[in-house]
Amino acid sequence: MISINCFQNIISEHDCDVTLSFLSPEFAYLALIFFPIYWLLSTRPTLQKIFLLIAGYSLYATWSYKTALFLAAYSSIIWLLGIWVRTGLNPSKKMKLSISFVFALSLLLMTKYYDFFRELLIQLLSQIGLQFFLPAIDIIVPVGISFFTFQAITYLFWEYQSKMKVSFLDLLLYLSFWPTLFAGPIIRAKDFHEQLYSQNFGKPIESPKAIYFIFLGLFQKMVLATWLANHYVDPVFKYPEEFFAVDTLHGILAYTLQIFFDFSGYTLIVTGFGLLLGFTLPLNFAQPYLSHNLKEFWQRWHISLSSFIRDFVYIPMGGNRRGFAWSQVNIFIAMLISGIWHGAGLGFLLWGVIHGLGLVGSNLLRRYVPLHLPAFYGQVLTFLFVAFAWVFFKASSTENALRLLERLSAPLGAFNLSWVYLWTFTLLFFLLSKYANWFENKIINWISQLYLWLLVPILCLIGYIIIELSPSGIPSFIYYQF
Amino acid sequence: MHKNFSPVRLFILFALVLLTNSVLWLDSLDNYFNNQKHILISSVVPDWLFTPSQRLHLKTKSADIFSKVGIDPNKSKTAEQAVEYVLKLDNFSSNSIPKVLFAGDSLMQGVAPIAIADLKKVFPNGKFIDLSQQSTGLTVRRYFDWPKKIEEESLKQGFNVVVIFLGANDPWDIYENKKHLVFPSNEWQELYRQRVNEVLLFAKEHQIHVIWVGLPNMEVDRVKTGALLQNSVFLSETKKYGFDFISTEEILGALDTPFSKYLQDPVKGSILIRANDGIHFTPYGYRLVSNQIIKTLKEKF
Repeated sequence: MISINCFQNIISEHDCDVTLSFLSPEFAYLALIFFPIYWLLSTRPTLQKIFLLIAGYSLYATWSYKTALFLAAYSSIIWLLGIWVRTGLNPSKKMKLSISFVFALSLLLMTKYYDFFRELLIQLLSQIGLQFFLPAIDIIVPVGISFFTFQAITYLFWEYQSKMKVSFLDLLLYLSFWPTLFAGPIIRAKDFHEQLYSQNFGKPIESPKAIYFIFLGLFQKMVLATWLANHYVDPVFKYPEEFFAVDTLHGILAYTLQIFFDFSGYTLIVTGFGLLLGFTLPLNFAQPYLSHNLKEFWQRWHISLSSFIRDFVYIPMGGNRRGFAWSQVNIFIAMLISGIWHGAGLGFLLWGVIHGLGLVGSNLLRRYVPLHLPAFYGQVLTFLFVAFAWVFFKASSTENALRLLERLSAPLGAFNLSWVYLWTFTLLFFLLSKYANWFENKIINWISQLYLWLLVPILCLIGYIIIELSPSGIPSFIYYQF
Repeated sequence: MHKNFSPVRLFILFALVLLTNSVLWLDSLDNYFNNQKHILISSVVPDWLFTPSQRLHLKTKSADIFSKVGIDPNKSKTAEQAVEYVLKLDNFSSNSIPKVLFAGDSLMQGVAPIAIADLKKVFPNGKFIDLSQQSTGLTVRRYFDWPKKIEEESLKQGFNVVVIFLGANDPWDIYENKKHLVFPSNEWQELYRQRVNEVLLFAKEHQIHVIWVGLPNMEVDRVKTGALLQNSVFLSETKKYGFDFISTEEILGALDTPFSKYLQDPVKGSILIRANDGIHFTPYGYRLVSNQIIKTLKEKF
């Protein structure tokens, strides 16, 4: 196995001389210094918060000090807007909230989508013979902006609803809370601050669960996701023309599993860190690939985002209050926004459209076709639909997605032993998914009952195996780009 | 509700797990810090601490470098055997069908898929293999040895062209054989030139054509300084051997001008060609580089 370079490429290259990834050895060493100091400060909450804040900003500044300054400025304005929103009478408060939302979102739109829409507009106008130049703006997209923007929105809304007086320090801490800063899960202001003001703050909670989450997350990301990416996904998506139909199908299946392990692994790791800091982060995944229909899938996949979109997009647009037809329009728009939230590209937009159409289609079927499929067929159909939609998510352009899908009409191709490995892996995955909660409880219970002198060598061995099995060239987390 | 560990127990647990694995992977960590952070921990840590990791990984070490490409290192040939092997290959030096190896770092990882997709249309019978790997270069040889890799792969697969695009990971001090060569000292430049030479000399001897893609303008000062120096090495060395050098400065902005992420197009206005890190490209930027490679290849075949 890869001993000589197993630690290489853990983080993206070139600019990674200072960038800290949760998977890097230097992060592990720094965490070993950070946590004891953090816990020691638990008798002095203000000092502890300041220490946590400094750690969050330092970590963020390793990506870019400019974006750390941006985050500080953005948080300051959000805090002032929060004060503005919670004061005054109801009619003006609503207007204040709307203006604050526009500000909170405008920076996301400016940094992440401006170039995309600018080029799209120029392209469209040049096609009809018009020349129109929008100025090019050289902006760095801050990592995690989509996540802290949504958190800022939940804060403003919470201020509007509850009139809570949140200190500047607490708000700074909320928007720079390092476990959720880069790729979620989106923790709502109310949930975060309730935990911040609770007696548990600053002390590790449910530590056996934290240990289980961190090691399972590392295994999912470093071993499983990278194995799938290196052996099945990357070759097929990079060079579709080189592969026949069945190989292409395996590439799609592997990506479906890879994105789950990548994001679920990430979420598990940061949820474990959250517990060590004294915070319970929201659940982001609940065995999504066992869903019986698309609606259920979206209740189980990236839950913190889909519930945000439900509460802040779908319901404010009217939800299902204006009848069946309008609710379908709202669902479609919500999915479109979910798609474009992931990135400025036609692929993401199309992915949102496909899911929107899928949800509307399944609602229509349920309403007008009295056909009840056995649960298993529902699971299979949902999984297939989700898997094929991922092609548009993964391919960097619509053209690339179609190039890959075209290969499904190519000859089947000769039998390859690697198919069997993937089938076995997929079968095991579904079996374990079904009993995941049972396993989780058993293992956590077991960890909590083990003596330290026994737990240490077991975790040393697991750590060793994770590094041993990690393929070289571990990429950064997929969801960091959003 | 499960039993909670106290902070002290948690600290002891994580510290022991981390320190044990650090010792068991010390050889890998040394490589990691050398390549990523440009620090050599073996110069400060006593040799005996390396014993466990070296013993654990001794058997697998030599196989690792080759594991991705499936080459059995035991079957690698000596220089003399290699020459014989090349001479035996049918049509090896034929220029009628391109057999192209794409070598490089993440910049090549972006360019190669675009170039290969287009080249397949122009040369349906051509052979195009992309072996680019991120975080690689010519300076940390024990992490990734491009001269050796190019040699091995060319002999094995009979390439007649090698396209190389790398160097952005290289402008750092080199630690080798207990020597510390500071970037950009004369000694550093000399060693870097030797590495480039090694690739080109092998290619010349084996009638393989080399297309070396120069580094574009960079935002980070150190990488920019490096690129200026490295490009002059790439240009002079490729010229010496009669190979092609593609100057990306002409299409993506000269190194002695301020860095810009945009290209000014008279019809389309400003087009974003560079990524936020000031090193990588957008798909449009990668296509510009790819077009130059295709153009150069078409002139050859």
